[in-house]
Amino acid sequence: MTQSGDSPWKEIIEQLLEEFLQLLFPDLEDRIIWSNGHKFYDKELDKLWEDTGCASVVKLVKVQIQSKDHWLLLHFVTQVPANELVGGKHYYEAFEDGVFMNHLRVRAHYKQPVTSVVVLGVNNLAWRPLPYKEEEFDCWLHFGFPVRRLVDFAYNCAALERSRNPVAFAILAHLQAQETKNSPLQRKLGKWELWQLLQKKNYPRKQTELLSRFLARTLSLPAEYEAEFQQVVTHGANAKLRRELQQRKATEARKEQKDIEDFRELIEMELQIRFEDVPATLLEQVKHLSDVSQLHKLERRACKSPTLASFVKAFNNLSGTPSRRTSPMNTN
Amino acid sequence: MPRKAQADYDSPWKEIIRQLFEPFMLFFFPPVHAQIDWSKGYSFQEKEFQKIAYDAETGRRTVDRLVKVRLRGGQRLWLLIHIEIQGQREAKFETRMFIYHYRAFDLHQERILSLAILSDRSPNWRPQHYEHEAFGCQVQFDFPTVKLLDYRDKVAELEQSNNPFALVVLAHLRSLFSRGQAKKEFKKHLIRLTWQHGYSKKQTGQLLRVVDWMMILPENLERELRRELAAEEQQYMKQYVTSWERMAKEEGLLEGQLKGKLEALRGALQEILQLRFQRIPDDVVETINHITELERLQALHREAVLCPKLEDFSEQLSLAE
Repeated sequence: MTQSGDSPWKEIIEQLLEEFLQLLFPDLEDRIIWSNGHKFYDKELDKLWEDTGCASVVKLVKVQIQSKDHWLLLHFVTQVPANELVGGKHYYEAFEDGVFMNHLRVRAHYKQPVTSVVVLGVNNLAWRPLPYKEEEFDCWLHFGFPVRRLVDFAYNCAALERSRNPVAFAILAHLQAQETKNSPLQRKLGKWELWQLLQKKNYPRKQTELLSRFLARTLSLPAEYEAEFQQVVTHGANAKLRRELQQRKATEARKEQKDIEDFRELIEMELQIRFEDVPATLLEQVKHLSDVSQLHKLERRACKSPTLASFVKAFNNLSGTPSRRTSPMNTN
Repeated sequence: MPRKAQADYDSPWKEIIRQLFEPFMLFFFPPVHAQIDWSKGYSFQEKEFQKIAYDAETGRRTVDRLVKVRLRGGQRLWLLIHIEIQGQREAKFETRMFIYHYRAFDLHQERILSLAILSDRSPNWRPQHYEHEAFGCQVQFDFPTVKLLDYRDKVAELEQSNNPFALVVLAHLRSLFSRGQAKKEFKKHLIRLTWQHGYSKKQTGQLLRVVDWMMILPENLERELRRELAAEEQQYMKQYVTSWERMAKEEGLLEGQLKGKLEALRGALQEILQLRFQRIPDDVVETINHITELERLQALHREAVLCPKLEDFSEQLSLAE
């Protein structure tokens, strides 16, 4: 169903697997012995998951960990069907079932343990897949898998821009595409900025070509806007574009200010709902934070921290060392 | 003592679970039993199970059963029952439990409940959990397990129990830990218990066969046992004959007439078997002589004519017993 067999991510994963995992699953990447090679197996096995339909891109790859073969099953979700049912359930409800089923089938096929990981590329902050669970009397089954959401990078674009990892660039393009879904003008401007960024990065030629293709496919434009984009790529920025960029900057600043205020409000609300007697000084400190990526992280802490004390600890860690940006990126 | 007498655990379990499924669930898994709607029946899924186990990495060391039941709420539930029967620990038992469980689920998309019975003699081997974790991808699988060894402290209760599986467990425990004369004496005890419990004739027959299977004795001891119990057996069989005769009278049948018919049929039956297979084992003759239902003898008569081998006939004879 969502098997849009030609997602531009397919090529990125195939060509830049090491960089992809380094960015999204660094612990896992760290253990892989890349010099021993890796191999994609999905072509022959597509039939294993054609009926589970839980991800846009499913990739099975054999890598080497501690001189042993290790099966890695990667799910990449780039779109969620609006009203489609999978086995009588809504897509979101059926998602975990599908990931579990694929996991089991690969395991059964190779009779070897498999590591399943999930990357969500959809623009939905509310969606966080849960572990798969089954319970009948005292027979109990639990399947948990690591999930990375690209949307969580949205408030940390600066780190992505700094990163040397070419996949960071692909994520930026992906986020830009989601943000400008309904605005071809903004998309054109975003595409131009990314194009410039790509030139500056000076990646090896093959990677630059790959990312250019990715950019073109992800940020596709209506003909007239594309013509304008090509125009500035060939002849450099003109007055019209500069004017538009200036406006965009102002809009972005307004948007960021709004995000900051939203996050502060959310954090305050969540803390007060979840914990009694939240000290006024803490709320005051939160009001003084102005880094959107920090606020984004704190907002998640406010939802998840088991106690107020653990939130305060996280808060001090984050805001106490503002110079050291904790970024998930491995900036080589 | 000839080592050939390594008890064939496989077949008695297989058969007795099928024939006494409800008491089986009641005895070993009462909470599950309580939720099953027994009026809706149940069915054993032989073929489906074969698909699940088609390439089992391990040899045939367990009895596995896939049974379809209905719960009281109307939901379907498939029970995957594993009986670890070789009295040996199987290294990858947990893994296999997990593999069978998910394969059953994948193939049939039904709710599956996996259950295990362990009949080994090691008190410490208690598999009930499978787990695999790598890089945050984690599978955990818990399954309910019954360890037969744990009934060792409950022998008195078992002897009182009306559930036929109490006897099965007694026979099993005793065959794990005793041999020779002690084993024979206990077998005798169990056979008497079976007679005393007042099960139906059919159930009694089934249980005696289970006891027999689980507590295989060297030939000389077995003959001794038979001899010692011969009188009591006659006594026991008589109850059924007498009650049947009384019923027959009430129905207005002439006793003599019926007896004559039965005699004639028994004779004919033996003659056919003699002609076709030369030698008839004593226990076959014995069983035939104890059959007091006309219809049953007529059915056996047909079987005697049609069966390809004597074994088939014996099986038929013991099945309906």
